[in-house]
Amino acid sequence: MILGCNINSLQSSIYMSDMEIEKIKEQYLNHYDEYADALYRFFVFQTSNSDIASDLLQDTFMKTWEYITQGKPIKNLRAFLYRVARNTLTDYRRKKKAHSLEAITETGVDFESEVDILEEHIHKDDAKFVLQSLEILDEDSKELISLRYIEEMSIKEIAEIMDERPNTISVKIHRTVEKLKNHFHNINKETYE
Amino acid sequence: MNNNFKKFINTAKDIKLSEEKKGIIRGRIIDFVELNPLKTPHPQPLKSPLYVSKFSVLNFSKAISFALIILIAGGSTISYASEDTLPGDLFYTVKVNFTEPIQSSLAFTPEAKLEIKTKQVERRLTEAQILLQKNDTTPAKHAEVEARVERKVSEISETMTKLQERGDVEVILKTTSQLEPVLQAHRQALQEVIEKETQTSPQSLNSQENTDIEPVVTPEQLNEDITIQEQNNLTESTEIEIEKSKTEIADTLLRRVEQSLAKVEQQEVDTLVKIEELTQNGSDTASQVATNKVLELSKEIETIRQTHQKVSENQNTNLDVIMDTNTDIETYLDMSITEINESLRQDIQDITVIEAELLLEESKKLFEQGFYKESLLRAQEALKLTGNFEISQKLSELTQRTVSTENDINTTQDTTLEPEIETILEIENQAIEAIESLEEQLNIQ
Repeated sequence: MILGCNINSLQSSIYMSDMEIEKIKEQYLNHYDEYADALYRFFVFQTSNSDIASDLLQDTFMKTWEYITQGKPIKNLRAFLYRVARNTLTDYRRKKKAHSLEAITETGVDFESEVDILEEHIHKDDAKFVLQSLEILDEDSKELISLRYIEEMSIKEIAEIMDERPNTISVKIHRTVEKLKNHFHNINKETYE
Repeated sequence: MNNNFKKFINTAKDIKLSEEKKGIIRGRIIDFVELNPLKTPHPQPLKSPLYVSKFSVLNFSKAISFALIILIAGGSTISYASEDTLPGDLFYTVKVNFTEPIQSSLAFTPEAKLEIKTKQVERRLTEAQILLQKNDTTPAKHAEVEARVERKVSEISETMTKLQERGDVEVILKTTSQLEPVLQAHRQALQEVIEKETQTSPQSLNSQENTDIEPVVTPEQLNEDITIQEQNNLTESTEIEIEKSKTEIADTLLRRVEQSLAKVEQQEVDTLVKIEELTQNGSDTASQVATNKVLELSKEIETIRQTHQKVSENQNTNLDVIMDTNTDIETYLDMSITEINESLRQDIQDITVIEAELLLEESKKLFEQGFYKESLLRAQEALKLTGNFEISQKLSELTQRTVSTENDINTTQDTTLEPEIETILEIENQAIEAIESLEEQLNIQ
């Protein structure tokens, strides 16, 4: 690796050799290997759909690469990826809303098909249980639970990704968990009644 | 009840990306990456912090010496011209023996002196590197040596910059005082090497004229090999010194981490006790959230402790990790116990306000959906949290009436509900005002 420099100029002029460029590409793909699973899981959680989750995952990494090619610095790649992921998710939801009426009238709200997809990995009843439980939460809450308990991020990290204060995140998580616990409590009551 | 939640989370955690799919997407991303090359000549590296130019240090020295020249030497241009000189150049001695010592003496605080000294050491490293570049008799071998030095240079420069940012005065002082004599020797030796080179060239001409004996190795080559050997030795010993310094830095920092950890643990216990006091009359949520915060801090500290364990056992210490660890703990320790408790108190109040706001939001949503009773209950909860009992009481009454009115509607189509709705809205507004004034009191934006 050759570092070109002209000691007589006050600024350094660093040019990238091919090796450096290849290194960055390699690093990026390593990041993909590292974070793809977690992001995929995040997307499945939010959309209950395996194919859509894959698409969103792809989009996220492509958008991030675009940002990198513009030479802008990224301090914390993990946080950045999740930010892009959330934005991609928002875009998807907006598009989905526009088409949702169509979809419902055509096929009806099909719970079963979504369960099939998750069945790849987990038992059918469990899958249904997860999806039903998710239904009671709004989108923000779903994301919070996902990031906090499944990706096991700290409050600070989540606050950075969602651009809110840590205390606000704490309270929201607490209330969401309460909501879920109440929900489970009610389910149990129903089972015994 | 708790089991269901755990089951829910564990089930969700099992969701995985299949290897096949992962590979397919990876392939598509590779294609995308190939199609979209890096545009600018120098994009930022992905994992390291924002790039710090090694050579910007010269701006500082140049500015200082320029000012110095104007003030003291009255326009003498020699010191200025000596700025970029290298060993062997005409005014190099001027730079090292005149300009630089004056630069150090211009600094008054130890931290400032330290900064200048560090930059001077970095300069020596840079000069050594450039000397190797200049010495181009056999580019291939020199490139190798050059690469080694360059790697060391960037490592130690990065470390020193970071240490400076964190104000680790003591550590840098040690480092620079160790490195400087080594690097000065390095510089001197390289200078001698260069002089030898210039001497051997005329000799090589003579040897070529002598065609009687054809040695296997020409004197020219022999001198070359000696030179490279010498350079290698020099570089090696410099590398060793730099490694030693890194180890010293690591040790010092590790010791500090240990001390910090002990202090932090004590504070942790005190803090938990404080939370109980503060939240005796407050909301459950505030108490829970505050406790969670402290517990999370405990986890962080535990992680730091484990990292510290690993790092002190491992010879190849990663300075980045150690430095980050140290900064994390020291940030926390920077606050005294009183401050921590005060910030906790504020946190708890803050959390109460946030909770009240969220409840009010829910209340409004429910109102829009026509669930008046639920809406009122929420608003009531919100107000209770803000401690505004008067309005809270009005709300209770209103709730009672609304409940009975709703029942009436189902049976008698009573239209008298409408004025009640207006009162509800009015009370909601009062609730908002109450919360806002509470926020102001707490000075939360």
